[in-house]
Amino acid sequence: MKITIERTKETIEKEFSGKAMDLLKEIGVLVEDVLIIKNGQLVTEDEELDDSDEIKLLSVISGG
Amino acid sequence: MNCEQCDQRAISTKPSLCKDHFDSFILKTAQETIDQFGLFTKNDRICVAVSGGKDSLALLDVLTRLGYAVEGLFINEGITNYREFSLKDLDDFIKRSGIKVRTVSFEQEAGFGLDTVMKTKQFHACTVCGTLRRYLLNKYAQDYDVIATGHNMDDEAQTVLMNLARGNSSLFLRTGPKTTENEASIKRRFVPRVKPFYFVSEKHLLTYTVIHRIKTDFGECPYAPDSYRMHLTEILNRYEEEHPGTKKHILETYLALREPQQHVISIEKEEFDHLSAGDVEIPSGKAEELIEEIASVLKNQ
Repeated sequence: MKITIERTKETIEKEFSGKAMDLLKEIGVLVEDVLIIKNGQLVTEDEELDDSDEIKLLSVISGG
Repeated sequence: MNCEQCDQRAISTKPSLCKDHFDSFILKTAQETIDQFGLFTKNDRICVAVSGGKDSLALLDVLTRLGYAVEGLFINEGITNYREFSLKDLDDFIKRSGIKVRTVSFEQEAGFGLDTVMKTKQFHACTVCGTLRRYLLNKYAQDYDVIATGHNMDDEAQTVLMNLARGNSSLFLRTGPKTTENEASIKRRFVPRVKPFYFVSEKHLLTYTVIHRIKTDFGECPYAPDSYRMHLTEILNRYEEEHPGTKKHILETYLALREPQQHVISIEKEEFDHLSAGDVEIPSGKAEELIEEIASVLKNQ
């Protein structure tokens, strides 16, 4: 799975299947801090993800 | 997860709503705040303080859709590798929406941008920026009935906690959905400031811009990461995740602790103490002193 984190401009390759909220927990990101985009679609944290999905995490926190 | 109100897939949580019901929820929440606190009416001219970020562009969009007469005012502080990106997003938005937005800058008004001020290492970025922004907003919004800002529930809960934690008792009472005139400020042309997104979370505002394809590149002010507010944001978001509803409860408790009439609060007279009397003056005391102080430091460098 390819995960792009907008705030830090990081891209992570990771094996994962399960709920989006569990993925966030694994990579140390709060649900409250991000919007989850799965294959270009906005989804909620209980969305089931699999290894072939491309995930983008948009940062909720604005620029100060 | 499905929408609480239909069988479509939810795109938001707290509440769980599909795209259409989420859209209605945002409009309804903003409208209820406008009505509950008497922020403005359909007859008022509304100046939206625009940064090019998601909150202010969403505000322009929502107020226009609700049928209010809005125009934007963009303040360019002169922060390299930050403001030019939001300016581009703003230009795109203006082209799409046709909403009129005026631009003014620190450079043009005071003779220096924030980057230049920060090179002196003698001033705190947020103090300079906040003081000059408020001054310029008020100066250029004289023809409007109110200045609307995109402050959201997260911003406001952070502000309540910041003032509490820092012991800022006078500032503590000056936040809220509407900052309006008292006798001193009417004389000095203080334009009331209002916050229609007082009860809309930052996450929901980002969701709104995503579903409406309002493009806002993520950008972080280079002077913000070390700020007290950023630390509080991290703490508060962690708390909200573990105890949903925390931010809203902070604001509801804050408002409930004040007398009902204090929901519409007055700015402090001292803010205008340096002004001469008259009906056409613009609140400027602190800002003008600060501009002079910075100009003096720059001249001696």
